[in-house]
Amino acid sequence: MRILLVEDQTLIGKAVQRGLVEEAFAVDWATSLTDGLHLALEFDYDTIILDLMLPDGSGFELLSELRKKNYQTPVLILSARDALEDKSRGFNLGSDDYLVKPFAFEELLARVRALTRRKYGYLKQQVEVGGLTLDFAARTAQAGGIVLNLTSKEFALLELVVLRRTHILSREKIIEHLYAEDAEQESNVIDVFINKLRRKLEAAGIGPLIETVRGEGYVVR
Amino acid sequence: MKPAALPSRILAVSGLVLLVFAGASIGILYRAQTQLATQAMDSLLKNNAFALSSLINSQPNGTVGLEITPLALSDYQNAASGEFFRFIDPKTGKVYQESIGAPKIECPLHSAGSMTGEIESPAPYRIRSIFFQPEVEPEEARRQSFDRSWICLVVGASKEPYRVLVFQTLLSTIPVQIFLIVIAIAALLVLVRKLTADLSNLTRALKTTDFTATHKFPPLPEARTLEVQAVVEKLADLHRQAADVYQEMWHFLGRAAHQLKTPVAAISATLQVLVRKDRTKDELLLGLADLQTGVDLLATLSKKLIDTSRVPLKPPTELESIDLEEFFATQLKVYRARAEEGGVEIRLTGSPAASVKGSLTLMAEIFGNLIENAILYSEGKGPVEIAWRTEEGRVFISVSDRGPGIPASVKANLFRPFVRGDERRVAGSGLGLSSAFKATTLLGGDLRLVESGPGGSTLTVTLFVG
Repeated sequence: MRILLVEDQTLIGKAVQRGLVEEAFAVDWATSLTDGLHLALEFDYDTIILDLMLPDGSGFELLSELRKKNYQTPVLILSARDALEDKSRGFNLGSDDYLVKPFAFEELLARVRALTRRKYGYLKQQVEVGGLTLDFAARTAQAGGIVLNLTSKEFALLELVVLRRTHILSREKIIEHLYAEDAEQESNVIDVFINKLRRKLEAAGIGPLIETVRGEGYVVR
Repeated sequence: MKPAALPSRILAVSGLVLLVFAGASIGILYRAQTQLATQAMDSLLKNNAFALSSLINSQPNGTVGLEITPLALSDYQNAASGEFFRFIDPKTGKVYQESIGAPKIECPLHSAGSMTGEIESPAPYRIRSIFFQPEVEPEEARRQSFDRSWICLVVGASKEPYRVLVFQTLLSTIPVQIFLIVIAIAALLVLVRKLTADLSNLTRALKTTDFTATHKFPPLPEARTLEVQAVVEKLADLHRQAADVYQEMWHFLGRAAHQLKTPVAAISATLQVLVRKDRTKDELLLGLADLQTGVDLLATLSKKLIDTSRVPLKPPTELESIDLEEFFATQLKVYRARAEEGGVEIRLTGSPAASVKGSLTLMAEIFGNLIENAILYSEGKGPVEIAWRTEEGRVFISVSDRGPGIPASVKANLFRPFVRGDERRVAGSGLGLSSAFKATTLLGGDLRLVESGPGGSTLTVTLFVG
């Protein structure tokens, strides 16, 4: 899942980015309103984490600008401003969640995951598909009571194709969601990942879950 | 003196004044009445003496005749009014005739004439005495030549009936006086209450104020007297100022707390992420370095908050003359190490001999912050230059850096607390310039951003020549 983090505080930005990346999120970090707006319009993010006090303006402005353009990606405001009017203003402008600094990183993680799931219409923490049970919170995949041994990147790939079930995802699209802007990847890296994933699924007794659509990409039916 | 309500004090003083006036008026009345009575008595005695002296005559045989009938006599010996008379031979002291019960008063005169006076013994009397030679009667005796006898006539009247009369007259005026005093006090009461109504309303409004409980000042009453109106206006003005200061303090406190949250949030997030997983030594060291940065930020902010709280609220009572060359030589020593850390050099350029009216504490607050800021925002591009010039009794001291300049969005509020440059580049507290501005104002000076652009910024402090 790809996250846009708009945060001008170096230390906070660094910590959040590191924490999310370690949870297999692809994180682009913008330190200003202008950069944030540019990136949000350029790439398809799964969630935006938005600070309010930015050097070149308010996060509210960015949010308002995005929603004016009918931008649907969930936005979580992460701010030290804890006044009710700030929260109300944020929600009224179209934010989906609001977390006050200082915050528990686990809570941020849980909220970002919930928002990402919700973006694709999944409200529950677990989903079953083709005999496979995915737990988005525990980051586990089970088949026949056995937990599959997946790396965090493999789980992220599985999560992406399951969440976007029935949609054909091109290799470029998958790269866009799994890797940050500054992590240049060749598209065949996705084929490698898909193959490894398929082998682990087959070993667990799951039939062909991820189909290849020739010339277009991959899909879970 | 124990404080008392203003209307009561005005009434008490007015009452005293009224009583003094009433007493004085009684005294004046008494004196007037007594004078009138004395005049009346003197007039009566004069008439009596004249009438009685015409009733006596001298005879050639040396005797005196008294042609007075018992009826006429009774007119001059009115015992009730205390009137009396005595005809006395001044040579022998023999009394020719006297009214019944007349006091034994000797003749007070020894030669021809008359006198009016008073005696107190045996009782208070007003007396008139004449020393004269009576006419000669009858006709044939008048033709003879002989030494006429001298007679002393003393007439008098008791003062007592007049005293009683004066006293009664005075007594009759007392109810009127009391009535007038009561009316005057009632009128005063109404008047004083009316005149002090503004003050009473204001006192009542202020008495009901409980600022600690409500954090609000009461609405002040409208005043009709100029003095109270001035007090009300001044109070309203003070209320506004106090409310502004109060609001500003809360605002500052809120912002300070908010600012402290930022490094706390950063430290917290860094720490949480760091302990979520097993870390290599390098990862741990990197994480700890980040934590140190957060703690440093927190320490800087705390120090600046303490420094800010130490800037006094009032201007110093006495300003001293501070030699700029000497002052900045010390500042250079203080900030040399910091400048080296920041990779910049501090230079004094254009420093003619000059001194300013200031206080060392406030000057250190002003220029310490300006120099620190200049080093911080130079981003290694030196030098930081300090220069001054004197013009028309003022000294213009400028501190310039070669940093990236102050963002346009910040310029308008540059001297407000917690306003700072780009935090992505520099971790300032946002308090330095606001403290410097406050300290400059306390010295009666001025702090301005003269220029700021990609080539750097220059801030100028204007102080008075000292």
